[in-house]
Amino acid sequence: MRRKKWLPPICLLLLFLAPGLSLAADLRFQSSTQYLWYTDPFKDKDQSDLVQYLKFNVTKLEPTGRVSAVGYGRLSGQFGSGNDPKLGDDDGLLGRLYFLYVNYALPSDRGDIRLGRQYVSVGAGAGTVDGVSAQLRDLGPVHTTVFAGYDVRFAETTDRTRPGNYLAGVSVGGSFLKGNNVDVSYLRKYDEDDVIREMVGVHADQRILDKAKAYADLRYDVLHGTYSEFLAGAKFFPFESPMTFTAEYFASYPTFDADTIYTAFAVTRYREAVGRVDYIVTPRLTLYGSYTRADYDGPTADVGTVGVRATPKQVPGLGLNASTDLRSGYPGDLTGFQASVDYAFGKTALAAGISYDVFQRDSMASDFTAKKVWGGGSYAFRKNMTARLRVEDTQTRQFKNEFQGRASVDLSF
Amino acid sequence: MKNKILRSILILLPAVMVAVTTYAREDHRAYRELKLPECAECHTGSGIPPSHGGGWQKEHRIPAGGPNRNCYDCHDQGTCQDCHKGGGISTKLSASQWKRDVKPESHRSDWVSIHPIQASSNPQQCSRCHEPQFCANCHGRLDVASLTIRDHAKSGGTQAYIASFPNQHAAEARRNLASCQACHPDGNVCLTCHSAKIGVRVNPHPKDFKADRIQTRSNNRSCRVCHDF
Repeated sequence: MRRKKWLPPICLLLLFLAPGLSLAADLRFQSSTQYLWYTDPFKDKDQSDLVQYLKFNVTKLEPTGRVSAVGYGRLSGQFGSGNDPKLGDDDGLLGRLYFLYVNYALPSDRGDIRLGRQYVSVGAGAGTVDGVSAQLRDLGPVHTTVFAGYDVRFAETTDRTRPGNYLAGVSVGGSFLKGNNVDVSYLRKYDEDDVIREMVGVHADQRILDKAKAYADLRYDVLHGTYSEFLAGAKFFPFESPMTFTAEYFASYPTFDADTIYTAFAVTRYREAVGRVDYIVTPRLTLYGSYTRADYDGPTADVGTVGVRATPKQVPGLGLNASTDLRSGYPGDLTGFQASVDYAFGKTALAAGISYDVFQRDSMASDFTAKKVWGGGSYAFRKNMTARLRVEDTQTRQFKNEFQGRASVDLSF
Repeated sequence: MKNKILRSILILLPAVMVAVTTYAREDHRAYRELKLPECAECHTGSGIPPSHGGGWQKEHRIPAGGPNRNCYDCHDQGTCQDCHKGGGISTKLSASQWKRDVKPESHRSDWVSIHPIQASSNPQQCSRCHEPQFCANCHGRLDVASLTIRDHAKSGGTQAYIASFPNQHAAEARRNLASCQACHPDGNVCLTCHSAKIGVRVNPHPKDFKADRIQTRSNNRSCRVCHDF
């Protein structure tokens, strides 16, 4: 299959020219020019990239205002020698087109029809396609999503779209009792015209007395004749204050695309039970905690997380985040915490954070410690122009100090 | 099985179609500038719990896949792509990066070293964002002796231990087969023992392996690697 190397650059060119071509319409765009520097762990040397992002949204392309166009992409180039194309260190410019599509909004907010590159998602799976999608709402009690197109697979250096690689899906669902949602979905993925993934998704949820919600979700792998993922859970919110208790059971049978021999190999099921509490004490203080019991068809693991988010009333502009994680069991242990603080005043914003993790990857391996500290700030020169700087130093298993940073100028019009 | 699926769909669809009450989705576009905790002001007592809580990173898959999703009332597709595919136009100061791609917050501190632990928890989690080639690009360059794969480490980075204690190798491979694929993307090393054409011909299939659909729909593509047709 011959790869259309010219297609991504042309699309990116259109994306970058689009704002200038549509001066008559209502145009908004966002740009970020970034200089990145970091340590390449394989080469043990410093690298740097120059990256240009652009996102635009054009509305009022015609009198009814139903047609709009949106796009988002980036161009990047790397400085330095010894590039390795396999790792994405290609010479010259690299492009990545995230989405670029025309949207037609149906009357009465009944849905949207999109044509172009776009992110698509149904219960049976998700992906990016160069194609068409339609989301139709409130057709009686029914909502539906349907899409089809070339399957876009993002690689290290660019996004790959090849003839014979397709992705198609459909989802139909609705509410048929008070507080009820049901949907059934189907997804099919092709590689070189062969079906390599065929999934059916089923989801149902039901609110109970405005105090609880029960839900179940299944992904069934048609090619392998087995379920791939199953989730059943319930959320309870019995109090006037927003405190939510969540209990979930999840089981996974990892299946592989049928273009690899791993598709035919035996695997074991992974199962986990989760209990979680989210408590919004006040709009300025949120607490959360969870416990997970994981089962690897024999070996087990216990995982716990506790965290807090706060914006103290006494110091306007101040935000605090902290969480701690504990993991013990198969395949390894981890004890760590993360904390960050951000403070905005006038046109300036400052932020800093720290992470500290002690981990053992395997019972046969030694303990390692990783520390990360970062800091940054931004300054809004104008309402639509902001400069940002971020630096980070991580002590990793490989390096005593692994520096990285990002300096950017962001514009929006 | 095909008949079972069709029967299920035929049962479910009429149930939806004969619905007695329609509940239109709530349009959230007017609230898109609110801070998340402020959402609780409406959601308290409404019978709908606030979303975007501590477990949202895992939870959002299901509401985002529903046909009645309202994600786009507040977000554009860039929100999906920034997290799933490393985009960084709206990067927060807290966001770290791997080369030119922005990393999601779940990829903590020394993620290169920690990721094997996380990859074992729901092995399908990684593939929601990464193609298999993403793993192979790095793992193909690593010195095998430096890995802490249990089977390899016990025999000094070779496969000698696997030959001596095949059951342990099988148990580990079944628990996280994707980790085998990370270093052996084409699986050729597996064929040393697991091919039906050569070697000791150890059957790798699950005991209730259903080969018919894989054979017919993928044109025997993976089957031909080990079998003659």
